[in-house]
Amino acid sequence: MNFSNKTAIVGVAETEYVKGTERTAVDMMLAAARDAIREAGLKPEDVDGLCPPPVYTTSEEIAANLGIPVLRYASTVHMGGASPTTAIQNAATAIASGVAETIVVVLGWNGYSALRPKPGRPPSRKMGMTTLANTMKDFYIPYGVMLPVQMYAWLATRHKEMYNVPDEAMAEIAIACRHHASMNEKAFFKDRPLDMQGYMDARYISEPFRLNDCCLETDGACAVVITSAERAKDLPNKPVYIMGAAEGHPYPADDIASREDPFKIGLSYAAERAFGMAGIKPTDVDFLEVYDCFTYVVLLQLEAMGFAERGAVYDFVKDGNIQLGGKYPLNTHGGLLAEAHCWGLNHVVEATRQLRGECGERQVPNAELCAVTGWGDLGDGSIAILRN
Amino acid sequence: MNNLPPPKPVDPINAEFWQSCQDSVLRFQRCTECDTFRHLPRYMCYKCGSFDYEWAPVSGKGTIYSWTATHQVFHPSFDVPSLSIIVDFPEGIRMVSVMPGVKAEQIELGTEVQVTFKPLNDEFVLPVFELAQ
Ligand SMILES: [Zn+2]
Repeated sequence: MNFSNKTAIVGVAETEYVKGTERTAVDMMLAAARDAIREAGLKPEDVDGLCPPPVYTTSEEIAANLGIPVLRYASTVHMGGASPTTAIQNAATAIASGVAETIVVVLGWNGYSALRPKPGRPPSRKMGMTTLANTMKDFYIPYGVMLPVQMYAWLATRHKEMYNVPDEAMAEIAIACRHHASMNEKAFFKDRPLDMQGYMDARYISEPFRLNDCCLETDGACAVVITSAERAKDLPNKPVYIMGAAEGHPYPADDIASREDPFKIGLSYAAERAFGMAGIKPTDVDFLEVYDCFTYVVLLQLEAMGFAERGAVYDFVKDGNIQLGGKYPLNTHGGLLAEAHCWGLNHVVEATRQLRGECGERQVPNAELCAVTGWGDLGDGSIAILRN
Repeated sequence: MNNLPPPKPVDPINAEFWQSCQDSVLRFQRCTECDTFRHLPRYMCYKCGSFDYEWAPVSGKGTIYSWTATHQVFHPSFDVPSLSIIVDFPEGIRMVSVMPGVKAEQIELGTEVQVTFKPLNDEFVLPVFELAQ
């Protein structure tokens, strides 16, 4: 059985994206979920499935708060930042197979506030992420490697040294995202333009990553409602159909150092399956929403999807090709680099709005087809192909 | 690395790795059925499925597979810039470590390195790397 085109995204919502909030992650997720359900023209009792993140909450807690009396499907994906887009796949398979009819995928966190607790305030709920904790705690942190910026820098260093990829390739990602954010009211970096000189002048965080290669740390939440293509016809919003979706994992997934081919990432496995299910070629898409925790991670994913040969990605991203007006506008909301970090579910929200034609100044003309990707936990990958 | 805390693994198989090198000899898990080395430590051999293994000494000579020089202070115990590396060993395994006092400009892909041991306190030595002589 194949779930292609049998389900559609019918509602989306987000909280505001901020640096510093009194609101807990659960509180924000509930607000986003409630608003997405309303935006879909549905009520909580119409929802019978939930896909919350692997941190902060559970399906049971969300259901109890929203008032979802019959929960037929509760599924949590443990793939870090690749979790929400994989959850889109899981929701689509569950709906297409009749396990559930309408599922909310939700993601929210205190990506800023949890790292900066205020003195005198009670500690907020722990994030409770367990994936990869052992590898990092036992084998990376003893050497001072404690953050993704350092681990993904190993991937970037090896790739750029092997294939002579210039820093300008990374810069093109940062600059495109910042440019697109300037047209997005919600973007955290709406009024912070970036040019090549500004990119190059910024300090290094962990080589080759400079300051603007690294995504935002923000608080916020968003949610996406998915239902059957049949039901979508009767709802107020223009349906955005899920043509294909897939997940993939590098091997071994829990150790970034030991892979035979370090550039065979999760998306290398997932992309072919998702595009195959959708029945399209990658080059058929009108725009791209690619998980951008760090600029180089975008470059690796573009190669994994086949937009460039191994090591040749600079040719794809230069000359405005990935900016609005170019052939493949990328991260039209500004992405994690310039809109906000909401684990890439904000990429799904943006793709949905683009495919509905709601994006105003930053609207991709005649947007019909989009690929959205997720990346997390040392290179797990997910992808959804969406159409209107 | 000023006041680096020694690793305190919860998982026993991970603890064995750190214990195995406290006499300043680098050892990795080797399957006693099929002689395949492995790292990270695992409970069973991915090649043959055996649960039997030994901690086999290696020369500690390898080559640079990748690196990053970290400039941002993420923890007060670590001096910056800090050069963290992935070492490629002829035994077919790789490990993460650091090269204290070495700058990124001094290395490239394939640079030969060798293990050395840095005491963190009276009871614990950490395997780190230096340029091969
Ligand atoms: Zn074996």
